[in-house]
Amino acid sequence: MRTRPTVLDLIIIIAVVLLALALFLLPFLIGNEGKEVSVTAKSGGASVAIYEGALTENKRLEFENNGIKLTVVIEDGEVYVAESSCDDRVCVHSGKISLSGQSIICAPAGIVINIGGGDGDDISAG
Amino acid sequence: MTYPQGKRVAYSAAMLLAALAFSYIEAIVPISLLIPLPGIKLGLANLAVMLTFFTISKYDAALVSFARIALSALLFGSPISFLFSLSGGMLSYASMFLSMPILKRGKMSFIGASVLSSALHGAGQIFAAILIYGTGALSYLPVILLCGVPFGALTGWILNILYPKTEKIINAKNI
Repeated sequence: MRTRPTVLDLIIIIAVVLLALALFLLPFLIGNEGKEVSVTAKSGGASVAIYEGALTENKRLEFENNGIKLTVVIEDGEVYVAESSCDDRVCVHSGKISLSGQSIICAPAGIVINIGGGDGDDISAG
Repeated sequence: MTYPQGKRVAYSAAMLLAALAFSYIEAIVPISLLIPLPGIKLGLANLAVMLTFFTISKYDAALVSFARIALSALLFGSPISFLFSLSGGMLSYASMFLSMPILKRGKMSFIGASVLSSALHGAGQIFAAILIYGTGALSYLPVILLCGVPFGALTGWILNILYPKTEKIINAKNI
């Protein structure tokens, strides 16, 4: 048995410290899982909440604003815009969101989909 | 190297007593007086378990570890502390199988082995904490891993000194 310190001892020490730091930083890098979905629609300058619900509830929602139809899907803790009758379809290409503070904005329709309610922060509240 | 059963029982009993004494010292003078974090211990009892593992036998080390955990929980612990120690102790014990061949080949000393053992002990404690308190306990893993490094290195350094002496005593012909 070896009883004098070696380089591998030092490597193990550094590896455990790095692992601890990585695990500590991980939640900040991946962000908080969201809990709630809220959808607001802008009509004539004012934003009106048109939907609020849990992210865990699987749903298919239809909205209409400014003459544009939007299909929003809440599925397995993720939200995405499945279909839009607008021209640019930026919202459809935004992909899926699931973290607190993330949002999908559908500018032509004036509809904003927000995720909120993650632990601690509430960036999406505004 | 295998030893006669009488010798094994006598040495394992001595190791168990040492482990229990270390546990007792850590229970009455907890390191958390200096570092106010829950679940942080020096882990001196692991000295005796590792010495048993590397000098006497793997089997005896498991017995010493389990008996130490059960007795210290009965004498100055609680069912919760028993669960934490048991879960930590099992993973820590498993780490010794990983360290054994590396130590034998001279690639690392007991410092590395002890830091690994300490890190896995911490992981085991967090596993128990998740079962009791839920996944939120996972956020405590970095703290327990980080604290395990200096304490693990300290016990490893002591082991580097104690191992040759213990080996010599156990292999003495006249005892």
